[in-house]
This record gives sequence, structure tokens and C-alpha cells, in this order.
Amino acid sequence: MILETRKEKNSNHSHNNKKMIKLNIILIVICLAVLAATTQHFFKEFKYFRLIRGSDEITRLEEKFSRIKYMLPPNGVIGYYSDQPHDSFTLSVARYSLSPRIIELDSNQTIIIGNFSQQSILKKYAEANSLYIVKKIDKNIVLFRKGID
Amino acid sequence: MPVLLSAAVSIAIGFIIIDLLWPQKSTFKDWFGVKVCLAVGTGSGIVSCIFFVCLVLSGSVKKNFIYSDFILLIICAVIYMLRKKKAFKEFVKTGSGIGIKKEFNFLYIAAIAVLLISIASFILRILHHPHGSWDAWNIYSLGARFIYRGGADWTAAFANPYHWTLPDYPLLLQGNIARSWNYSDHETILAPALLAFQFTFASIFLMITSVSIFSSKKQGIIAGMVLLGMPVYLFHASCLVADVPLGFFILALIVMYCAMDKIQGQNFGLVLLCGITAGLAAWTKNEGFILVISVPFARFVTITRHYGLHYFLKETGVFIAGLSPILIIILYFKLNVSSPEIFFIKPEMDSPLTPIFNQDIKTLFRSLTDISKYMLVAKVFAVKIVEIGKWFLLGFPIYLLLQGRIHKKQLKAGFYTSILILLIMISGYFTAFLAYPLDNLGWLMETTTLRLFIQVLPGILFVFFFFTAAPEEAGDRKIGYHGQGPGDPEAKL
Repeated sequence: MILETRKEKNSNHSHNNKKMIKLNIILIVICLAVLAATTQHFFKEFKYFRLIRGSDEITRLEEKFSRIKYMLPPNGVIGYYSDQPHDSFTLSVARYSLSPRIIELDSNQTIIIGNFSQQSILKKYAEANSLYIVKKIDKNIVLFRKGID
Repeated sequence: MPVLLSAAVSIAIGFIIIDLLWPQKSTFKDWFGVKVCLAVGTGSGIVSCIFFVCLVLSGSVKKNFIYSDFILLIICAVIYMLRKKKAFKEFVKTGSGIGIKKEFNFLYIAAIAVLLISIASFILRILHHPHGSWDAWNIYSLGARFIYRGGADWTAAFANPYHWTLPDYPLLLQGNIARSWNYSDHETILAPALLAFQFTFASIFLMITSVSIFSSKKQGIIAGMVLLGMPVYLFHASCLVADVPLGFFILALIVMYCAMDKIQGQNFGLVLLCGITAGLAAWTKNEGFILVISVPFARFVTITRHYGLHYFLKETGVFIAGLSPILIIILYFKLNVSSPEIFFIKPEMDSPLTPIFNQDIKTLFRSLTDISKYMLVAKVFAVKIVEIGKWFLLGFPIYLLLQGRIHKKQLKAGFYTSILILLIMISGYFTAFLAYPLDNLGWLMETTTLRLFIQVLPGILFVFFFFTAAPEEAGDRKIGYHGQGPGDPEAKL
């Protein structure tokens, strides 16, 4: 009788042990997998951080546009022109930086921001639209005004 | 510092409102973790609504808007003191009692490590991309700048006379960012970053605390870790877009419907909160409207059979009562401030037009019966699911197989409501892609599908970990009842 009870106890004990081992294996696998995934993600972000070092493209462009902010009316529509067919990035950053002014792809406005990949196109565009250069922000981006300088 | 103050005020307002509406029987410390997590999102949503109302009434952002927050906070605090005087006194007398058991094992240590690594990754992302992803600065921060800088002309961007932005995006994020700038008196990129941080980690902790209550503490920690272990989620969270906040509201709604089963008696306060949460989801992103529509449908299916039509109508009435103030604000914004985004598609369509993407009925019918479109949408959905889940997709069935599921008795109306809500939402996304009339469906799906799944991801994980038996309880029975569960009167919270 005593032997049977002992056997039962032992069997329960080994059953609990098995259960605990199974549980711990599951938990260890989950922990390792999640740790691996998050660590990998961390190193990816760290690599980007070291590459960019706090000067992302938007911040750099914003800084450039901030140089012409004071020359623009506080609100209203400003024209935009680019000689590149797919220039939504610079246009969007211009909108973002210069808001609440509305920057519109329109060469008929009095004030126009131009983004040129080639200087020859800049000159042709200015002449064709009777514009004069108010300020050159960098080698590509220019602030124009309608009329004669 | 003022940005932190603005966040603290919104969380305090959120917590008081949630605790006031939480079923009377529960005390201050019951469901404390869940309530705090819910307060982070709900508070942000409520203060952004108030900010918008002030903006409409005064015409432009004024410094004294801050007083409206403090007046609301004082009113809420006074009502709270009066209604919960006894409970609060007891809380002060006996101490919080929200003790964290000193129970350290490798799971807890791993969870803390994962959390710290995730926070570090989040901060690194903000440091190298402080303006967030394209949508973050081009929609949300741009909108906030128009509100904050625009003076009396702040509506110019949203009225969109030049068709250059996405003007009819609701203003929860934009309003919150502009509100924080109003507190700090200048524009700081800390505002959108802090908001994203709040929603991300409130979602994680809501997952942990709620699964801990419904299942077990270990299961809760595993659920939170798995969510953090999907880098796509954390990546999108640090991109400062609205998908993670929307995901928070979906998860919050699901948790509250499941909580109704756990808390005995009538829970109309919780239903009211569900209405508010659904409204705030729609105030976050247009996809939130699918959530609003899905709730009454899911509740009709799940509760009418057991409680009758009368109860369903009563509950829906309360839900609408919570929803309607926010819905009125959204409708005002959509009808009086913004012009619909759909406007972009209009010139390319023939008349007569249906309200769905302004296309003619024939085109819509053609879209909905086009098998190749079904194949394309299904294929992209499958690819994106694999992209999000990665090896976890294999892990889930194995985990379920090893652990077994909880007993059928524990699967009550709240659980089925959650499943139906998620199914309706995913079906809604699927149908929207089918109905999309332009040729660039492939591009649209490639750029948006992943983010749509990010919205429902916390909800799906919650349902999975609710359904699966907890590690502590899983015995050698593969399928069976393991321990106490929702609706069990003796269940310890």
C-alpha cells in the first residue's frame, strides 16, 4: 500500500517535472526568438543612425528653406517649378517647411521657387517667365520673383 | 517639459473618465494597469477633440486653449472625488496595493531586456528620422503646422483648393501635435515623437495587462513580447504614422468587450467607453469608420441570441451615446473644414457616381466581380502577412498545439465580438481594394496593405493569446479547460 502511494507520488512528481520542462522549453524558445528579432532590429536602426548622424534629408532641406522664409508673405500661394519630372520630395518638403503658405506647381504666381538640375534651364525658365532671382538657396534651388530686377 | 505636461494632462483626464465609467463594483485598483493604458489613448483622443472645438470656436490657435484642458481636468477630478470619495479614501488609507510581485525568472528578465531594446530602437529611429516617414510629415505634421502656424487661415490646407494634399484625414494626431506645441509655445519634434511613443507602449502594456487578467501573467508577458518581437510593428510605430494609434483603439475596444464578460452585472459604462473608443478610432483615421460600423453588427450577432433584441437595442443606444459627440466633431470637420480626398479620382470617372470612390455603378460592379482582382488582393494580403509574422506564423500553431485552448465556457460574447470585429475590418479592407477603380491597384496595395495589417495586429494577437491556454495552466490535455476564466465569479483579478 505504502509502495503504491510512493509510486503514485513519484509518477505525479515526474509528470510535474515533465510539464515544467516543457513549459520552460517553450518560454526559452519564445524569449530567444523575440530577443533575436528585437536585437536585429536595434542593430539595423543603429546602423542607420551611424550613417545619417542626425542630419536627415528633410532637416537639411528645411534648413535651406528657412533661409527664404522671411522673404515670403506670411500666407497665400507660392509657385513652384522643377525641371525634373519626378520631384515630389523637394516640393513636399517646401510645402512642409514653408506652411502655412501654399506651394503650388504653378509658374503664374508672383513668387516662385525653382528647383533646377541644370543651370542652362534655370536661365531659360527665368527669361521665358519674366522672372528675376531673389535668392539662390543652393546650387539647385532658387527663389524667383516676377518682373525686372 | 511642457510637452510632457500636455501628455500628463491628457492621461489624467483619460484615466478619470475611464475610472468613472468603469463598472461601479470595481475599485480604484481593479484593472488599474488596463485603465492606465486605456487612459493614454482615450485621453489623447478626448483632448484633441476639445482642442478642435476650441479651434473652431475661436478661429485660430490661442494660448488660452490650455485653460480648457485644465478646466476639464478640474471638473473631472471634482466629479471623481464626489463619486469615488469612499474608494479613494480607502485607496489613500491602505496604500495603492498595486504591488508588483517580486517574482523574477528568466521570462521577466527577457521581457525587460526586450522592452529596453525596443525603446532604444524607437529612440534611434526618431533620432535619425526625426520627422518620421513620408506620411508622418506630409500629412500629420504638415496638418499640425497649418493649424499652429496658420492663424485664422488654418483651414486653408484642409479646404484644399489646390488638390495637393490628403485633406480629409481626421485630426486626432494633427490636433494633438498642435496642442502640444501650444503648451510648449514652439514647434518641437518631441511632440509627434512622444505621441507615437505613448500609443506604441500603451498598446504593448495594454496587451500585457489585459492578457494577464484574462489568461495569466506569463501569457500576458509572452503576448507583449511577441508584439515587440515583430519589428515591422515597432518600425511603423517609430515612423510616427496613425496606424499604431488606430491599432491601439481597436485593441482597446476588443479588451473592453472581453472585460464586459469578466465583470459581472450590467456594464453600460463600459459600453459608453466602447462608443467613445470607436469614435476616437474614426477620429484617428478613416479606416476607423469600419470599426464603428463593425461593432453593432458584431454585437447583434453575438448577444441577441442570449440576451434578446431588447438588450441589444439598449446596448447599441448607449454605444451611440458615447460615439455621437465625436461623430458630430468628425462630421463637422468633414463637411465644413475639409474637402474629400476622393475628389482626386473624380475627374477620371463617368457619371452617375456612387459614393464609393466616385465611380459609376457599372464600374463598381465590374470591379467586384473581377476574379483577377480577388487573386491579386489575396496574394498581396498573403505576402504581407508573411512579411509581418515571419517565423512567428509557424510558432503560433505550434504554441496552440502545445498549450491547448481555453475551455469553451470561457469563450463568451466578448471573445466572439472581437473575432467578428477583426474579420469585418479585414473584409472591409479587402473590399475597399476590390472596389478601387484605378489601374494602380498593385502600387496602392504595395504601399498600404502592410500598414492596414499593423492596425489589426495587436487585436489579432490579443485574440490568439486569449484563446490559447496559459503556460502555467497547460496540462497534458491538448484541448481542455485550464483554470479560471472570464465570467468566472471566483476568478481573481
